[in-house]
Amino acid sequence: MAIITISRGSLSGGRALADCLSSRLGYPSVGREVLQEAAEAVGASEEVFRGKFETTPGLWGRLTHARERYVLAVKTSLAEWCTRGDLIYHGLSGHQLLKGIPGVLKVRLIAPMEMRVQALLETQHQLTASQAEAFIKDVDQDRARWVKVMYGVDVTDPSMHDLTINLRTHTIESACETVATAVAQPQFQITDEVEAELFAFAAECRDRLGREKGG
Amino acid sequence: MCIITIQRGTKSGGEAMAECLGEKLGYPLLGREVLQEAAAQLGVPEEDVGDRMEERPGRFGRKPLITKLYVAAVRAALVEQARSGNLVYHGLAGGLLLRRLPGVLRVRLIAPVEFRVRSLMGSHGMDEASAEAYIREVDEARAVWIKSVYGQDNTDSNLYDMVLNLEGFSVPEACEVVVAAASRPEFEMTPARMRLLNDFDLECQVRLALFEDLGTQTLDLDATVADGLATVTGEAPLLSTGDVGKRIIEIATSVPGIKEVRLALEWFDPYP
Repeated sequence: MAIITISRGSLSGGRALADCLSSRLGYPSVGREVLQEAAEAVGASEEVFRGKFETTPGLWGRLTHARERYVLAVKTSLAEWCTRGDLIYHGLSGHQLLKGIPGVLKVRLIAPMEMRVQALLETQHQLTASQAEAFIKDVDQDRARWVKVMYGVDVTDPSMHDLTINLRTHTIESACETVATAVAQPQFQITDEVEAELFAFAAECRDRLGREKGG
Repeated sequence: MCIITIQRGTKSGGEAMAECLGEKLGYPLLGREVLQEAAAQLGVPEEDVGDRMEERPGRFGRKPLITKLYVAAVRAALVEQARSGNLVYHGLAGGLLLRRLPGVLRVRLIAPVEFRVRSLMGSHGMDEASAEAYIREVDEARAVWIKSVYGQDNTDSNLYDMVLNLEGFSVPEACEVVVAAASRPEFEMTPARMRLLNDFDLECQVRLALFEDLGTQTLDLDATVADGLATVTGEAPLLSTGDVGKRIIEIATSVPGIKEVRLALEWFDPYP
């Protein structure tokens, strides 16, 4: 049993890597599902929820109570998924939501700007290359600020992850093979002790969320 | 066949990682010994080369000529060792010395400061505070060196093909991951890449020869080589004697393997 989180900038191949790993290892791959379940748990629509969870807090980076509750709901939902067995999570902030949980392989994918611009242009034909680049930079900046405000860390800091892979040279297939080798290492096996920790973590998240809802 | 470079901070497990890779893949290892080779080529003490490769190169971020010469010598020595197409390099400047070469697997190893401090305390009998201060000082000096010589931030993950964090992996585990990556086609030393490696080797020798010559070392010349044809670029003074061009051609053709030299220089009038 193993758990992999994949973080990446927009259009950096995270979804493709998750799909490849899922078929290579037979683990379920989730992203949006975690968010949907979290939205349900707090009785919010997915759109409102996504807005709160994914967009940066206001100008001064204030963390509202509602926003904190939403993050806790996502953490709870992800923790529940983790207790069900093998998992590949390619949604936002997996490495932060599961920070401190042993046995989780935290992967970050990076890709050069040209490659990401090309990927965006393939689906958004109306954009020029410079508009596409500006859009990607905006999203990157927004996410970097979000991560800074929510978790107080630098999103590009490689020490937040176990393995960073650059798609400038790696194909998705190669990245997939490399991650499969990494997750097979003893350090990333979900032992009985780690499983017990995961259950305790999920229970703690559930309790906190229950108290929040009750309060 | 593959060339692997390992960039890491002091006491970040780089040497153990290189040894593990060498054992698993059967590739030769190269670390600080590259400095001996470069020093022998230049006829200077090894410490001089080591100092120039680590110390802050002059104020205001200038690159003194001597630093360029020593870097060119170290690069030429490194490429000479890589000629067979198999190598694990864990010495100074890591993959940056080979940044023009495609197909090189550039790995960066990072480790938590506590891990590095413990390692230094064990190997050098230092107390914790001195070990931590030493590590920070060396990290900073290397970062400044790379910034001023290459204009790059050595902690930027974009400079590498993969970054492995020893907080998550043990050294043998990280080694397995790199072995897996090295077996992928992106990093295989194909015949086409062998030709590029051969050209790069010649290129490094031509550049070094131009830096070593008193008549051309101040000109800031660069050279590229393709199939034995060397193209020299840069700025050179237009002298009525035409000596500078002749000298550059002589130097470049003195490198065994260079069949032809083409000058793509921007000439300037030294006496406007």
